[in-house]
Amino acid sequence: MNGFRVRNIRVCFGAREAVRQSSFDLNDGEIVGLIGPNGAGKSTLIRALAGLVTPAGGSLEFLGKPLEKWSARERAKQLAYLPQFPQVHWPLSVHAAVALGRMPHARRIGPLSAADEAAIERALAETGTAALKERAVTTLAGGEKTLVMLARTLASEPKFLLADEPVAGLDLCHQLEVMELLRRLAGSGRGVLAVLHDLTLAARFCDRLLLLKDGRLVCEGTPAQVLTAERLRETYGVDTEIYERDGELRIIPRRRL
Amino acid sequence: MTNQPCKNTTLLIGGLTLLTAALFVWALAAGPAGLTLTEVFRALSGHGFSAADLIVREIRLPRALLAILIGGSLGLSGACLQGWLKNPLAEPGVLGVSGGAVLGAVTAFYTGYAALFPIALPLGGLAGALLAVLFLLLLSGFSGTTATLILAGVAVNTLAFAATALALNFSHNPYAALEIVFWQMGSLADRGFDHVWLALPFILSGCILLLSTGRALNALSLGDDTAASLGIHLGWLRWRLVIGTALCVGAGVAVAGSIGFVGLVVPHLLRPLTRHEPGRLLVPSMLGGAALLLAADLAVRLLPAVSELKIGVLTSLIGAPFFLVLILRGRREAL
Repeated sequence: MNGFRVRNIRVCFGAREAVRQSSFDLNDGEIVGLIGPNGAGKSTLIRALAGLVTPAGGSLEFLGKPLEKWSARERAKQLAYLPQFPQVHWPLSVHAAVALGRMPHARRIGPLSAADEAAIERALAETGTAALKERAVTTLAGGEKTLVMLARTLASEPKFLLADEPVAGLDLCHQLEVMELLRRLAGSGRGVLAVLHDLTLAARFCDRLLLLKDGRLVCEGTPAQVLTAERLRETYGVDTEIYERDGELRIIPRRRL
Repeated sequence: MTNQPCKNTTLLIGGLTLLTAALFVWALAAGPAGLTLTEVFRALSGHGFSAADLIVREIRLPRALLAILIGGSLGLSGACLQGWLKNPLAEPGVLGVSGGAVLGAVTAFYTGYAALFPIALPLGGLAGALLAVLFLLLLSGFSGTTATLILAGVAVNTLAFAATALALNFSHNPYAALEIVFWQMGSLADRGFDHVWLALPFILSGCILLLSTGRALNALSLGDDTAASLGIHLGWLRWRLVIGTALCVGAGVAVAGSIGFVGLVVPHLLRPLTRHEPGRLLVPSMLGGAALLLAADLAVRLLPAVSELKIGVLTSLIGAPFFLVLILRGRREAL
């Protein structure tokens, strides 16, 4: 089943074309890594998929239905979006922040239902943040905060998760923790698209990679197909050393060209 | 355990409602002609024409009702704007609507219509508030960002202030100028049911619009993008907030002049009691604003003074140092 079916999508900011003529599919049950140099249009593309910017052209189908045909509330039930460096503007408790993920499901007025509470508890348990429940989000360290924000996306029990650089600024342990969590989500049948900069991490955890440069989809395929020294030289302008150990690719940047 | 905040909010709302009701009854009973509670209730329920009946029904009741309406709408719009702008220093004046309302009322003074028939004053204020909103939306565009809206609000405020100063500058006689200055300070004195009926529809519809934004404001604490991805329509939210605030503040300033600090201090004080959730803060802030303005008006009426202290002066006089203390305490906690 297709999560997303994207054909010839174009996104423009004024005269500048941030994403041009890209086509790809994203399936349920797989993690797809969106990679490419800074300014390649990764964030713009993922925001277009989340329905936050309107494409200038092309077609964008989510779960078999054009994205613009979804009502905001119905879309929010199926599709979660985790922005880059998620912000929390007030010292909300972790529980309250995660509970916001129930907004598309919950009644408009009145307290949360038992089903809402159960979903929140599950999300907290899945991300290992149940112990933080009463803490104020603003007092959390970066890794904990990212896990809590991921719990927020899980609380809405979406079919698909769009995550913009979910491991940016995290230490090694939290990077692995977040990626393992995304892996488990895909294992439970949900689709995940994540913007990633660490290519070794991307190669290890992603089923497929989309490589973007100057707004154009340069290459799509398994990590081994996409990550070749020649292609990284062309797109990133960097000489890399790529080798395989224990069935996994290791990518080490050597020098700029 | 998870229902704790819910229970706390209910308690808070209950407590503030009781406080407002008690202050309301006190406001009807207290004054130069001291009345007992029995006399107050008899005046409210009956149609008698004794002095006590007339004092309660014609003088104190409209004044107390206006304090509740205006205080409540100021507290509510302050809480909404702070939530929307994600800034605890936002207040109902930021949109420039209060400046427009002052200018409209001052124009009514200046042209002499206010002297011909008293209701011209609040009508002028309402017209000014409406013009300010239209101007604001023209300046910021219909789909501009929050920042352009605030900058447009600053521009509208500055322009309205300049025009008000101009009216004072060219005032025909010093008494008219003095009257304008006094009116600007904000007061609930000598307001009758005319004023209540004039302000009521605007303030009520404004409050309904603002109260409907609670859920969206909660979502907004995670930023605009996340709120939109949770199904919140940001453009529609913005319209409800701008129009709701304009209705509340415009009508309030039109009948009572500008009353500062209630919209800033009340949400600020109550926020920790609502666990910092912007949506949960709305109803308590409305009640807190009503209670605060009732109390301030009582203080103004009961303080022994040669001429009555203006309520706007009192709220600013007490509000400013109080706010300073809050900021200093916040800074110490941050260190």
